[in-house]
Amino acid sequence: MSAAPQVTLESSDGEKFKVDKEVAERSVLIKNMIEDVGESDNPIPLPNVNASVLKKVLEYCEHHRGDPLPAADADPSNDDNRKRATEISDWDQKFIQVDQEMLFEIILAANYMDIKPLLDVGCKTVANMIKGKTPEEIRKLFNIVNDFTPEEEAQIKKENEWAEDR
Amino acid sequence: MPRPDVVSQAIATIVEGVCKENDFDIQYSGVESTYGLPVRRLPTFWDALKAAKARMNQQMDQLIAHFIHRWNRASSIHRLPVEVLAIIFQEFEPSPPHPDGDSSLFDLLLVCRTWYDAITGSPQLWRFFGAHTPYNIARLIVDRSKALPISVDWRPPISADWHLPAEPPKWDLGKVLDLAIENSTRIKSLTADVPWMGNRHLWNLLQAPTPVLETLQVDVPVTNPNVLYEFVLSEGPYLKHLSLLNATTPFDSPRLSNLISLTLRESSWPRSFEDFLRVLSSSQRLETLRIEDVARGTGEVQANASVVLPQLRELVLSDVSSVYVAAILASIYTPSCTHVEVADDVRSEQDSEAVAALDAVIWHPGNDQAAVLVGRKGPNIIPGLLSIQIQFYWITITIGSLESSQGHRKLQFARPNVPQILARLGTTFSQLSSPPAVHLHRMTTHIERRSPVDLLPWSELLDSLLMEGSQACRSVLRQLSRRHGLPGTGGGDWVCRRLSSIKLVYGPRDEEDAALDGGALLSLVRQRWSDEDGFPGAARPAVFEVACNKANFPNLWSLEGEVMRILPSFQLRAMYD
Repeated sequence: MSAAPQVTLESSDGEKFKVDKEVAERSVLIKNMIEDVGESDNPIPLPNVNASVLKKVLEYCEHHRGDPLPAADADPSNDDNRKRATEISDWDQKFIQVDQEMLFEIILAANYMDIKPLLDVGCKTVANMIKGKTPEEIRKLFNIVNDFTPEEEAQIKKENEWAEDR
Repeated sequence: MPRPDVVSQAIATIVEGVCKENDFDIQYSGVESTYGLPVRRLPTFWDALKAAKARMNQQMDQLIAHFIHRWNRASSIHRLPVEVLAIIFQEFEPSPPHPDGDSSLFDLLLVCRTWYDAITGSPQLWRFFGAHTPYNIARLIVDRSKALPISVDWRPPISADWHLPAEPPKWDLGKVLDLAIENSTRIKSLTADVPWMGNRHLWNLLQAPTPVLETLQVDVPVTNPNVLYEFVLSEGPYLKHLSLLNATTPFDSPRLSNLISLTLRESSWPRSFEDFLRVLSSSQRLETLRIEDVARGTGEVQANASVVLPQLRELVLSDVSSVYVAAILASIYTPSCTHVEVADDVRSEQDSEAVAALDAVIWHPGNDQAAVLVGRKGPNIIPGLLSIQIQFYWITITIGSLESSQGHRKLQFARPNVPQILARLGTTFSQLSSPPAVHLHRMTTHIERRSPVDLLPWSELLDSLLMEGSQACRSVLRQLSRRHGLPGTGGGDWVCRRLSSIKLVYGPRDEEDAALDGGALLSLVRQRWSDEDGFPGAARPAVFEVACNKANFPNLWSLEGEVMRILPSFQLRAMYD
């Protein structure tokens, strides 16, 4: 039995990862690159992803290697599609239990590498962190400072007020 | 500590600026002036000075805000581009802000300038408005959604104690409705409670052009049985999802020709069964079909068309008259169905003849639709035990599976002639390509006068059985002591040879008949499991239990030891003493 075809990926800090092509192609970016360039022994450079993040992303791709790929034309504004896409499995929940820095790095990598299911898992995780919190609690969580002037804040509150009748 | 000369110079600069701005003539001498200003103009000067101070404060606030805004860029979350922030924010609705901290989009607007810009600049986040939305907010949502499709939800808010409707909103619903009508060409989804929306308003909205409308739900929850709300859809492309409660629309509308889901509840049922089948046959992409609480029974239905629904995954017929249930099941073929919930309206047994004829169309050996319904054909074949409960005049079939992804199937038929449908089911199931193991449970003693269950059609399927009531118990004792085979061969196999569990439960008032109870039991045990008659005995069940009132069944209890000697797994259990 012949071995599964493999590709080499190179992280921004020069580390090389040899993975099955099927796993690497969970990334639409890599899939397109392979299709454009054709089979090659040269490593595929990923200048926006460092080794520690790429390792994590590949762990996700390896686990989900057999999953059906999301339809390219899926309407993201469709509530059903959105909900289906963002239901987090137990494995994914454990996988994404990382510190904030790594979480945002994974989201950025998923966005750059075009791995929609991973992007959805990351975004849903951030949304879950936000849910049930007041603006002040959210600021504290993400180390954000209120950068509205008092006038602006008052204006936003007024403009978005659920008034009885206006 | 600032140097006095610097402060003095700063004040002089401000004063000079204010004076210039207000066209004051600065004089530094003369009795009429202080700081060279005319005394009579001092109040004006004072106001101008205060305004200047306010402007300075404002500019200072803006400067500080600007610096903080730049500082906020260092926050990890702000490394995410706006389009990714928007994906996160899609988890939040443009619903009222919650004082208790349940976040809505409106709460998130106040976190920081970056979030405000991301949220207000992402039209896809502003998806819906409705009766719960005051006009000013609905207007904001319409504006912020740019040209994207929107949803209108016109259902009353539910009060805390689930009474409908909660206190009506204090804003002008008419203005919000006008806004919806004004933007009808952008409405992708419309959900409306008719009394809440008002017939006229809904009519106006549905008559308005809705070229992107995909989902329509019209509910008339509080219904007058003599009045059916009927509406006509404007022309436009196909709807994808239609759900009606006590409302109807002409089912020959071209817009209903390519549905993905169809839900009809109560009096929403179309005028004729043919109209209904026409909608189904033109909806080849249909994935969900739900018919609920349609108790109307007629003899008009005919299962003369076989409508193939290749994509149908979910079939729910709940509290629907038997004749409709049977007619629908007999008229469709759903090869991909994985979720089946069928429950006849138990009051509808009067349609017995029509129903029996329709049952014959569905439940016969070799019918693929029957196999799909019970999970023995299709994308997810359920390996689990098939459980059948027989009650007074209805029969429930539950096919359970540990894996929810394999789907769920529950069928409940109300039939005056339970033995007839039971025999049909048994014959059909036993000839499936992969026949299921069956647990049969005849419930309660209230059906004593009804015919006992004929086990023969179930002979190859039964894994376990539980019978309640003396008549059912005696029938089982009698039937299990027989072998079945070709007439005249004198042999054959034991009835229900695979039985691993037998439980017989007598009623509290049942009186013993020595021959039909204890005598029959001993005879059964000797014939079936002792090899005394020269034929090989049947496989021994792991459980054989008889429960009865000890005082009422003295003969049966006296035979306990003899029965256990032949069949050690036998147990006699005292009840009701």
